[in-house]
Amino acid sequence: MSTVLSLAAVLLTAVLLATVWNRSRPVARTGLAVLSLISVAAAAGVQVNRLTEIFPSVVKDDPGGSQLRMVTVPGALTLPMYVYLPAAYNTGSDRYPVITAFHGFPGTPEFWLRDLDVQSVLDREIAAGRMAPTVVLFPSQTPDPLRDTECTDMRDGPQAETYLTVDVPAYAKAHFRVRPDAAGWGLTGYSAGAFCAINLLLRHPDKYAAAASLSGYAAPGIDIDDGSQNTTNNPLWRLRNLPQPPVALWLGWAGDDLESAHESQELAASARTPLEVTTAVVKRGGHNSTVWRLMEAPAFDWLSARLARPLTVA
Amino acid sequence: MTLVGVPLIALAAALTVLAAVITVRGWGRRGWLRRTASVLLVEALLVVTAGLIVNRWERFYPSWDALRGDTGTIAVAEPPTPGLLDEEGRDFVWRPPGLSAWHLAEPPTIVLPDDYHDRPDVTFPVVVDFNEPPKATPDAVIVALKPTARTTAEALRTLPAELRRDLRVTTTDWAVEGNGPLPRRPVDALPPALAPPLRLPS
Repeated sequence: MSTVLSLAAVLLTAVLLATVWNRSRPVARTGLAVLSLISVAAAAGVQVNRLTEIFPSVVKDDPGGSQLRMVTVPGALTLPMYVYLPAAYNTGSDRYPVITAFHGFPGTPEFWLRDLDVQSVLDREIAAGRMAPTVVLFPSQTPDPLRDTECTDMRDGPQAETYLTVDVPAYAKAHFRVRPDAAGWGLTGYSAGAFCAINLLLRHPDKYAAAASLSGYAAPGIDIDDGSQNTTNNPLWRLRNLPQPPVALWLGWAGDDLESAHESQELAASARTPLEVTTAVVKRGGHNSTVWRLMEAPAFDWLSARLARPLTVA
Repeated sequence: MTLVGVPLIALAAALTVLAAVITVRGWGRRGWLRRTASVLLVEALLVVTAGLIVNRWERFYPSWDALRGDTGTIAVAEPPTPGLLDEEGRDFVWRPPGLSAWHLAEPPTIVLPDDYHDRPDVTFPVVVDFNEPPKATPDAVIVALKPTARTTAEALRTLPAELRRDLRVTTTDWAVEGNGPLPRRPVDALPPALAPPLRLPS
């Protein structure tokens, strides 16, 4: 709808320009020109938003065996979160492993749901036995769609890391049947969200067992205001300067996504036992949803194989 | 001309300027319909130019192939091939042709998941278990091995292929259980199916 409206505005301003320009005074002409530019910028913005889902609109709900719920998680931040519950969740009494899936920037969890069709992918992988039934969380990572937190605690800003690693797990454990131990918790994400997954895994090996990075980076794309983007919030620095934790990391990238490819390879080359690194390369495809759609099922399968299985509750 | 190259951006920018100049110069001689079309053309070229600049900076689509969605990777979803021993009972002694090369103390014992026979369209993960007795792992095909001093990771390299022929098992989701020296071998010394998945799709 917004696409049609914005394109109609572009057309309308163009017709106005063409019909009344010669009869208008300079002030009116300026106004018309500005209106035209605004309408073009708005139409382009609508399309960019459609691609990145910066501002979420409609909730997709697939009433299959699995469920997709939307909840609000309070804490250091108070933000909406989508929760995928596998089909087995309805009937069983097990406590399930959990994967937290981060979105890129700009973006929202809706990108996972719509562009990466994650509910269908998870349903398929679980039904095929390539993945254990798993609860998957899709949290928001920033209170401001235009502010990139890179899942860190910003000085004088959003405490995203605390929210994502303390409040979100506490909420999930309190409201859903999930495994309470780190062996059952994993992370994933694409682009900036992949950086989040890598960084939070290395920073919190006591909370997570594995992470899968889809076109991720070795450093945050922002200045965290305390210099930690060059040290403790920099996975490459951590691997080179700190003891490596006994966790597992999957790094996927496209060969022509130069920055992500270079930084992922640097991370892989810096890994030492007991850190386990697996790499997966798509020949080409860039930095977009086509590549991530190709990677998500193998990444989820790999994660599931490294997470503890559903815990049978007697 | 590459998608992220300067020549394409320069061309788009030049076309934008050209279209704008033609639009302005011919303004008085055209009817409103052609004027509208000219304005829309200039606007579209402006957006394309800006988009090319952003794409060069961010590399969302580094090539024409990427823009077409061609990743050079074909996703294949093959139906599981029935195993030669699919009709065996829930647990049995496994005597594949390559058994002698593994230098085991005795032939391996295989324990199938409860629902193995009920789900012919599913491939199952594998646990290669060196524990004595083997640990119960639901939902996975358990291959219980009793190694000797001559059993090495290299000697076991043929085990995954033998098992894939006899049972419906996954290529990648394999785990090794046990506390002896063999299960602790580094991952890169293990047979391919026990190593991390390096190819897409899984």
